[in-house]
This record gives sequence, C-alpha cells and structure tokens, in this order.
Amino acid sequence: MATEFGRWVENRHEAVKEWKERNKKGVVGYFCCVVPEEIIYAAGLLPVRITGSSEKLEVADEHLVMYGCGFVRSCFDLAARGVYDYLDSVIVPNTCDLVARMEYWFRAARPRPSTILMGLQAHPYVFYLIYPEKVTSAGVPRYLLMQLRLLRQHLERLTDTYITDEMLSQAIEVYNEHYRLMEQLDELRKQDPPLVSGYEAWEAEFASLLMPKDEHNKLMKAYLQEVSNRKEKPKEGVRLFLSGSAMDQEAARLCQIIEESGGQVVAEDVSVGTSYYRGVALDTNKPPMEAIVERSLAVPCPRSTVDATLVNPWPERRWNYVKRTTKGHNIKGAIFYNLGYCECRGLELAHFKDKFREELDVPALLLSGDYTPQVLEETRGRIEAFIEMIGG
Amino acid sequence: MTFAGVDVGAQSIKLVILGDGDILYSRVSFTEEEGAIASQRLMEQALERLNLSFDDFSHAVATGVGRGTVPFADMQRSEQLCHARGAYWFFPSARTVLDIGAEGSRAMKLNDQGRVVDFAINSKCAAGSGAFLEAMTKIMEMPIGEMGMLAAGAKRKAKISSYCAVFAESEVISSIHRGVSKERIVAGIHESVVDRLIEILGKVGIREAIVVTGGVAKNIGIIKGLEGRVGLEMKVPPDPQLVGALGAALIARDVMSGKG
Repeated sequence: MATEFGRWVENRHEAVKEWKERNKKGVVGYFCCVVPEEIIYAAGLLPVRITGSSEKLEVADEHLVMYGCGFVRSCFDLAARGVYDYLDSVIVPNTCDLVARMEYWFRAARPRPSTILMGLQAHPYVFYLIYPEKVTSAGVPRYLLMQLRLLRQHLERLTDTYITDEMLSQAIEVYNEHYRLMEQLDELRKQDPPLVSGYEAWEAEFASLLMPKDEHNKLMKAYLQEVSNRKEKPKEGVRLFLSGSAMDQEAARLCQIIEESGGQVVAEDVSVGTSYYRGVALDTNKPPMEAIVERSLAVPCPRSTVDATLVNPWPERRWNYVKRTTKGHNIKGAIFYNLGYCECRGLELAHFKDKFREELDVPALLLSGDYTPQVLEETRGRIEAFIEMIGG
Repeated sequence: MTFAGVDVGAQSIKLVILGDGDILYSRVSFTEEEGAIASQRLMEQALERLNLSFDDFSHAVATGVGRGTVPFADMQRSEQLCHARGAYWFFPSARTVLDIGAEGSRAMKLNDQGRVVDFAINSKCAAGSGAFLEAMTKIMEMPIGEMGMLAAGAKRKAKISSYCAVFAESEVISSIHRGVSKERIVAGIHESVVDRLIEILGKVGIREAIVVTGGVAKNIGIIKGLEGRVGLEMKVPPDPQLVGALGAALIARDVMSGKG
C-alpha cells in the first residue's frame, strides 16, 4: 500500500494522467485546503492539489515578482510550461495575494478556448473562489454557501451534468470515511515509538490529495491493518511536531532530514497535508451544501481570521488547534518551517514559539526556506543542534 | 584520562586536549586543506608534543561546519552545544553566549545548569560574521586588529546600512570618495556587524552574564560596540576562538563520566 501511495506521489503528473485516460473523466486542479473537494468529487471529477517542483524556474521570473513565495512561483512555472495542461479546470481561492493572482496567470499563461456570453466567459478554465477572510461572523456561512453554489454551477457546466444533493451526500460519505481513516493513522503515531515514520505518514496523506478518495480509502484500510501488524518499527528519535508552509513532495524532504538527524515527526500542522482533514466531519443530518460550508469554515487554515469581538481571537484560535494536534503525541520539540514571503504562517510563528514554551514546556525551532532543495538541506545543521539541545 | 575536542571551522581548525583537570594542549591552525587531513595532522602534532598515542584518548568529539570530516572523532556535536559548554566552563554565570565565527554567528540561551534551552543563527550571508569584517579590511587596506582599535575609539560613525557585504563595499567606497574619515568609516562597519548580532541576541533574549566566543570576539571594536548597545559587560574568555573545541573536549569528558 505504501508503495502505491509512493507511486502516486513520485510520479504524480503521470499517475493522474494515467487515471484520467483509464477512467475517461475530468481532472480539476486546486490550490489550498479551503477548497471543498467534496463538490468536485460529487461531479465525477478528480480533485488534484496543485503543487510545485524543485526544477529550475523557466517562465515565472518573466511574470512574477522575485519577492514572492517560491512554492506559488513554482506552481505557476509548471502551469506556464504546460505541465498542468491535463487539468480540465483550476480552482483558485483568494488564500493569499500570490495564490489569488493565479486566477489571472493560469488563464494568461495557457489560454483555453472559451465561449463569451454578454462580455463574460461562459465556461472559464479558472474558477475564482472568494473565500471569506473572517470565518466566524454571523453572515459568513450564508456568504460562503453562495460562493460554493457558484462553484457547483461551474462544475455542472464543465461536466454538463447536474450535481444533485444525492451525489453530494454520497461524496460526503466517502470523505467522512477518509477523515476517519486519517485520524486512525494519527492514532498510530501516538505510540512510542510511533508505528509509522513522519515521512511515511506524510506520503499517505499527500497521496490522498492526488488520487480519488474512494481508492485512497480502500488502500488506507489495508495500509492501517498492515501497519498495526508490523514487527519492525521505524527508527526511534526525538518526538517532534512539525508545522510549515506548503509541505509538498519537495518540502517533505524536511521530514527525512529530521529523521536522519535523530528526530521523528509524530504530529504536524502543515499546508498541503494535514490541515485539510483536521477539521470537523461533515454533518450528514444537514443539507449537503450546508454541511460542506460548515466544514470548509472549520478548516484550520492560518490565513483565516476570526471575529475581533471573540474572547479568543486570532492567533488563539490557531494556537488552540495546534495544541489539540499535539495532544497525546508526547512531543519533545516543535519545528516551524516557513517559506519566505508566506505571511499567513510567518505571522503566527513567534507567538507559537512562546506558547509552546509557556504552556507545553516544549522548545521550538524556527526555520525559513525558499522552496529550493539547497536551502532545505542547509537547515540540517540547525535541526541537529535543536535535537541535541533537547537531548537526542 | 585524556579527551580531545576538534572544531573544524570555515577558516581554521582548533584542537583542545583536556586531562582530568585542566587543558593540556591547544592549537589553532589556519589551513585550506580539507578537514580530514588537517585535523589528523593537528592531532598528530599534539600527540608528539604530549608524548601520547591515539590509544591514550578516552574520547574525542568534533564540532564546527566540517565536524563530519574528522576521522578520529567518536562523536559529533553542534557548535551551539560546544560553544555554550566551553563558555559555561570559563564563566559559570553565563546565561547568554554569542559565538561570532568566520562565516556564522549564533546566540545561545543557557539555563542555570548551563544547558542550551534556545538558540538563533545568522541568515545565510556574511552579515554579522567575521567574513563581513574581513571583506571590509581589503577596502580599508587595514589589518583587522587595527580596524577594531580604531572603531573602539571613534567618536562618530558613518552610516553603513547594507546587510549585504557586496553592497556595503559600495557604501564604504563612496564614503571614502566623499572624504569621510577612516575612523568614522570603520566605526560604521563595526556598527553594521553589531546591528546583526543584536538581532540574533534579540531572538533568544538577553540575560546576564553574556559571553562572547569565536575569533571575532578578539575584535575590541565589536566588543565595545556590543557593550554600548546592550549596556552590559561582554565577557570574553582567553583565546575565544578555542572555546568551541574546548566545549567539544568537555563534552567528551562529560560523556565518559556519564554526565553527557
């Protein structure tokens, strides 16, 4: 099973193209954890998370500022070079300034034929999801419901099919099972030593962002069974929490560097990975669109803010979430990996570092990267020193 | 029993041999040879001087950027741990240790038992390191020691605002062309390094006593600049460039005595 996850992760573009060819179905790329995959899945499409690569940028510098997040610049570069041409549509939320601008750049870099109706694109390749900045105010669920109805219509036009509530309910069932299975994987990592290494767990998580959730669920059930019966445990190491920007197939090398330095990632809060499934389960007693809205608003994305009148405003909401994530994992240290220009995460790190020390008596290490493997490798010395400091 | 600590830095290799009590031997070697050959040669010289053999050593610990290259090391430890251990040995009151090396600067926060509880490192450029000062000596055509003395006695400072050594060079050259005195320029250069060091110290929080280690700690201009900004005394051990190697040797001794 781990091998099958690895196949999707290592050859992600080929694996998705192969799936598309075999199933004769569409593929929709999207940015960020706030996009509800459930609606895309209900439409009979494969939702695929857009990520970058460590390849040298060829086109991005011509269009994007140098002082922008390396992850998004790389995603755009791949799109502009045609690597993402297999996508039938792209969903871009307004998560951060650079991601939001991909709404234009994905269209401009690879123009697609489109029907113009009354000055508007009737079938746009890119759908721009205007996700609320504040996620707790009274009118927010209604607002997001309206936005997600537009997304639903976009996908209906794309597939030329109505997405019925029944189709959404079926998707919800599949996704709720997925969230349950991922929580079970998390439980296995609470054991000492954990039954799976941090990198292996990341691979299982990341594969779920590329493959259909029903297939992933089947593999996960067998995988969890296999892991529970394992005789050989992963290498022991100092138990660490990892938090970071864009933990895709490039940045996940960090998990391996940590393991090679005597640590073991046993819990995490990373963009592209856990942050999308650590919300609440979808409420099957509610109308499906309302349940999807509720869950989407509960996704603990660091870009979101809350109503300023709340007793525990940002960043307390995020801190409480991070604290919950570490519960039961017996962590001895926390590593924060922040990509340069990622304000969403960068702004909360100093606060978290203090909180870890004050409330959990756990030291934290702040690392910064630029999405290049070279700079990632340079973090090794600091990680080694940090693990030594803890006593590894 | 005898213990060795080797610090393979960016510009030099430092060796400290420790007995059960005090330092038996220490040496700094500036070399462009690779770490494995240079550290081996340094060790052989020490053995000859002390009339010892490799078998007489109980434990050897390597540190520094090239710590992985030392062939006779039993263990490797980070610069953070070694400098902190060495500084605490000299000054048990040490709670903040600032190591200013050739290519890297780091601040360590120590608890009352001398354990490192937090650290911060300079970003991956010359700013705030010995390499920055060395680049400036070439433009100022002045040895580093002289530059430090001049900076320490300066009444006024030129403004060097660039972090980057290359851009700072341009600023220095333009100050020279504008007729700004050498004294003011070198004071500005030193202040620029101090600014970066204050940033690193700020990340771990300053607690007395502050100990400064690494080769740059010998620069009086930097030490006076830090004292002026922080308002506290900077304690500098004798031969501050050896503190990392000493710390490594002390860790070797701690390990063998079951304390490490």
